[in-house]
Amino acid sequence: MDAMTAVGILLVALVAGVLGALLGLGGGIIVIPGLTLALGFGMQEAIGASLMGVIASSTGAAVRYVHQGYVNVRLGMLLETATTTGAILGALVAVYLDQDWLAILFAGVLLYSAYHMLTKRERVYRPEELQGEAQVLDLSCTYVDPKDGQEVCYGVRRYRTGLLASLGAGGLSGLLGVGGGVIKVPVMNACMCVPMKAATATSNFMIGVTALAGAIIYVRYGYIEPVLAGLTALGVLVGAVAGSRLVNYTGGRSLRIIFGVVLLLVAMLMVLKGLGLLEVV
Amino acid sequence: MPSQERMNRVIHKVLLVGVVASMTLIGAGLILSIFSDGHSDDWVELGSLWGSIMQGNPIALVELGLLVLIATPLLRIITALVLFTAERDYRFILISLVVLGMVSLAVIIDI
Repeated sequence: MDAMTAVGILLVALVAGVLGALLGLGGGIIVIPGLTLALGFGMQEAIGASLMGVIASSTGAAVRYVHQGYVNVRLGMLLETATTTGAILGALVAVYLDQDWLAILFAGVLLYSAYHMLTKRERVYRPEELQGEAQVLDLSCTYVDPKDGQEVCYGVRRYRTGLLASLGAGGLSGLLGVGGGVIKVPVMNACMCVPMKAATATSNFMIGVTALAGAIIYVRYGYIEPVLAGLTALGVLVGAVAGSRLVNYTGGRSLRIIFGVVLLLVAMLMVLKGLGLLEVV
Repeated sequence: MPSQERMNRVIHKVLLVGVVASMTLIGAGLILSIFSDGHSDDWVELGSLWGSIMQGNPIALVELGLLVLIATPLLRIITALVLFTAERDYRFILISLVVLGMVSLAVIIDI
């Protein structure tokens, strides 16, 4: 591998790490097109590197987010049961379904989430305001937002709906290979009323586990290109550690706007994929 | 809630050790591979990984770093399981076991 390619990989990985940490995404949506379209790598080696990148992004960002209390560990682990189950179901039925229609359906879900993110205001409830199912399973959590020094204490609404949606999110990532973070963040933020910063941080925390099984399988078969995967993991780690510091200077409102725009872009990619114009996402 | 702080403190340490160790191993391996000749860039079989590291193959060092990276989220689930067990939080003991079980199942049925 020549030096220019190595620098290119590191740059793609850095961008993916920063955005992934800020928005709670794995960064596969940047790493895979970056490696295949821009740098000419094959799909399999790109997926292998991207799986490592997702774990790197998740772990690198979560170090800081867990320390600051942004991550709701209990909520994350509860939803992980659904995302991992969904991923298995999705991969099992993938052969029976038409990928193109799925991609377009997925684009519809993304557009709806983007509309919600860009136009609606965030609602957050204190734990004692919540009735019913919130009292069956208490997932409330507290963190201090360094931007204004306020302590935020929130309760989690509708965890059953959240579980169901996470099952769908896991299923989609099993079916299409993307879509973990882009669904989980809106579900937590809009449906379960988790503040945006906690939703992105918790999503970050979770995606490492969603990518885990795939990564283990790729390693077992030796489908990993060590130098490519190493450079990707290193770049993403550095990017994610840097990105997780940026969150302190960003408000929840601006995070929602950036996220909404990213959702629109991913929806566009999915439409292109569905129409057969783009094979690499 | 004291249990939230304790959970965060312990999981933070696990993740921090994983990130620092994998970054160091991958970084060192990549830098060494620039300066050392006579090794291939190919994947080293896991069975002979340790031997390759002892022979000074820098790619094996990168691979060890990748393995540490993968082990980190796994270790974090197990850590949470241990903490939930210490707190006798039965619902979350079950939840951690389901997550571990699903990851294992996915690996076993090769998805």
